[in-house]
Amino acid sequence: MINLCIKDIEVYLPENVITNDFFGEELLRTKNKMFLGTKERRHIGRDDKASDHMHICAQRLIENNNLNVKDIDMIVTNVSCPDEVFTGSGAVLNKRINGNARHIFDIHNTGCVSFIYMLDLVKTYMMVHNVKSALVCNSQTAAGRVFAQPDTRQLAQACIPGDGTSVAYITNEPLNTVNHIKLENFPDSAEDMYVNCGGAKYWEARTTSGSIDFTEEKSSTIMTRGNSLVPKMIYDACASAKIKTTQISYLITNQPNPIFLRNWREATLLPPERHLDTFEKYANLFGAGIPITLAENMKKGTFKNGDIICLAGFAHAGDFAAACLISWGAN
Amino acid sequence: MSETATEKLSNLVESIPNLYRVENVPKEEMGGLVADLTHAVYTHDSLYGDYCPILSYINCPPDKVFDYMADPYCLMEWTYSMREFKKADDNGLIVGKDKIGNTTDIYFKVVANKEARVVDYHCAWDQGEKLWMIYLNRIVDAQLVLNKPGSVVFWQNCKHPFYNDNPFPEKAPAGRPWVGNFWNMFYGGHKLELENLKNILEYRHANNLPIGPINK
Repeated sequence: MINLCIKDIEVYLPENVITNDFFGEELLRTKNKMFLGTKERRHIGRDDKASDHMHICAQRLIENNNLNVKDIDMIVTNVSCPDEVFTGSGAVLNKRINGNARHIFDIHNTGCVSFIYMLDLVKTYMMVHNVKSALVCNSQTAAGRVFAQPDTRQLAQACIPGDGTSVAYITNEPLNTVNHIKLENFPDSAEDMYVNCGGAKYWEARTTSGSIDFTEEKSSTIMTRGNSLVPKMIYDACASAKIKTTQISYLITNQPNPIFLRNWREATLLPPERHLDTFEKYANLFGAGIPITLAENMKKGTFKNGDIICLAGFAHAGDFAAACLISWGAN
Repeated sequence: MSETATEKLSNLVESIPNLYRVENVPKEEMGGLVADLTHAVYTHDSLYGDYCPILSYINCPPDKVFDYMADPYCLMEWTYSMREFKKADDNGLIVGKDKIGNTTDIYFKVVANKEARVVDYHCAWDQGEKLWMIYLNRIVDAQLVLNKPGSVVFWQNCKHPFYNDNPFPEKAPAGRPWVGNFWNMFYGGHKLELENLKNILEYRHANNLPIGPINK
């Protein structure tokens, strides 16, 4: 029996606060309910790297928990818009903390729900390679990079993403343990989201910035998938734990927009106050959304011993979905 | 309304408030309104609170389905509890027992239109003067809507205010619960009855048997 413990999480939100009026298509942005619900979001600075922000978080974790960095066996990262496209951010972070991790993964898939996928990866390495502690890093960098360029910021959907980074310190202690991890791939949806550089490849010289896009005809399909996939994964995790969804103390999902958030809590019969998010102030944090909401509520003392916290969400246009349950406190 | 008032009040569709038309609600806004109305789940009441629509595909030609449904005596076969029919007058009114209400009399008549393939059942418990429980059925050729042989049956029911208050309590058998108390179970009850209709018609059609009703 392996304990997968979320011991601590530190977050870094870039200082650059962007309000809604930064973005274009005002009529669309203010009238279309798909683009409502945010007040502000953060944008990563042009010269910042994901590993810079991971380093800030990791350093705080090391200090908070009085860690010997040489004990960190494993680093896993997901960066939404990567800056170390060849070498990966994990190796850089390992260097910055003067670490000695044996196993480093920079995963590029599972987007908005990569936190759960990376937790599962750590659990596997605990079982197979005797990993005892790991850093799980989510860095959402697409807002300031992809959606803040002079041309891309004119799109109404540019107001939806926001940047932020989290690093979770994972150990094998019998505390805040993650169980009933459910992961599922949906291959049919794998090509429904793409990088759009106006016909050019992203590595080619061009005159327009790139954007992350999906075809308009797919938008209702994606809504339908999101509406069904996330509740399905939550129900699967609850069935595995032999509990009802209403026994979930707190639900934390990815946060694409308020309509998805409403639909997921309706589908799981949970009241708004038990579905935690940071959408209004940080917007859609992609993969960093779940761990940042979790971290904020850990610091606030929201969770009590014995609480069951469900993490869940879907990636991209619905090519992957996941859920898991955390038994809060010592167990 | 006076003639002057009529003249002043524009009757152009553009003058009527709260319409969602491409001229006044741009596509960008419409998309969000539609998304907001699209939930992952719906409560029973939001779907069946005021109306009870149910529907089913039946693998039997629409004219056969119509002929069967338009014959009042078919209700003794496919309903859960309508039995023992007798002619009540010369205008198509029939009285029977609704055994879900024990000794309850149910009065009804069929109002059908073959060309439109609509079959409405106008019913009431306990009395035949005011037939207010009205079941509206439309039979559609499945070739048109599903590109396959057979029929689609749409069965609609509206929550008449009498479901909340029995207008003729003096005519009710003593101790018999009022039909309106079970409105919330109409979806389930009617769905199973529609299954009966489907199974009867598909059985007889597939086996080339007379479509019925049999032994009326």
